[in-house]
Amino acid sequence: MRPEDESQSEFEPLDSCDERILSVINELHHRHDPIPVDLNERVQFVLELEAELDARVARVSRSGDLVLTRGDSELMVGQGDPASVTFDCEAVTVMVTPRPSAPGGLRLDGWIGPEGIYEVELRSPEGSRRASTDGSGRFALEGVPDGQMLQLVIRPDETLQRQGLPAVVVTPAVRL
Amino acid sequence: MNAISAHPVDAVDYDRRAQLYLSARAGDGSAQQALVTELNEILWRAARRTGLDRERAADVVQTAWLRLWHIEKELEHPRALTKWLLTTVSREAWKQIGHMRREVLADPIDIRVEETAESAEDGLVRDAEREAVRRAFLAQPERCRQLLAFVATVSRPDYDIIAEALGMKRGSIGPTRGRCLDKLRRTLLDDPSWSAGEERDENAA
Repeated sequence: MRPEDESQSEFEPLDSCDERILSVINELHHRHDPIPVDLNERVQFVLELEAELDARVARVSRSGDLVLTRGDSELMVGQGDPASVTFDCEAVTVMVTPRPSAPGGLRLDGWIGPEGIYEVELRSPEGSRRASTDGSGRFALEGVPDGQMLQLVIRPDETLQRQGLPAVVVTPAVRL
Repeated sequence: MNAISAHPVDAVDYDRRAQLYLSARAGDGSAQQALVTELNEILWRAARRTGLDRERAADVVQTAWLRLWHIEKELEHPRALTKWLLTTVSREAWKQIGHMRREVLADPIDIRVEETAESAEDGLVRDAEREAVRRAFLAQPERCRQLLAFVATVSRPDYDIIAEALGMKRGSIGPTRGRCLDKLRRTLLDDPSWSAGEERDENAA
């Protein structure tokens, strides 16, 4: 039996009062915690990239300030800066700190570990910006549009890949 | 919830979703987009229910979609797509939470906040009713709040999904929902602003 068919009839029917209560509960949650307006857009955006990439892709996810309490503070460049966002997976850590620069624009300072040279692509709906890191994994991007959806695509150089790093590392689409 | 029979548009059409999934797998971008638009909110709520903050919840939803298109073979049961996605969201969320050693909240969505002036235009009756439900909801035990928040979001919720998401025994979900709604109702009936709303409704009809 298909599970959905089975379960659709499992709940006892509700009367109109229960329905009304549940719809208000649902409404309260909608009002106090609405889904981010651009979440559909973000999902489409990362799926588009995924369709283009055929290399070995690793995904990093947000780690955040709680990493600090675990004693990994050496990974946190610009430690304590509330604007910083850190992403990691087993092999790679990426940290970016956005700062206002030109009007409506941001400067993005980033650091990627382990140390080495990476090609960095910053995707936004407007297009891509590219930078390379120095030998210690640092990079900076100027003139990044403020409030835009962004995604980092990071390509470790061959030396790093020989050390076992994946060919491509991607972040989720975020708004900084 | 049960208005499903009266409003077929609310019913979850698993066959249609399965069809969209298969078309999307075959490369139909608009089918993919339709699925994302339809399911994102349910997935977002599921991620939030685990206690993840808003940004991380958004990340986890993205990851679930990426995983879906990444698996080489098609889902064995395309009609179970919604369940597959919800399970993936929960697992990804728990992975993150475990990683962060974070305390998980029972109902991370804070509906304690008093309504602000912007809601005034909705009319006083609706406001009073909403406030009454909010108070009554918050007065319920944690277990009930979790379950009711869940069944309020998903029309025709799937027992397996609830069992997994809330760590409940499958067989206890139906009776617990009944008991929780019953308690909530009794709390509400003691609240003058709810019964007032009730009377006004009858007069209006």
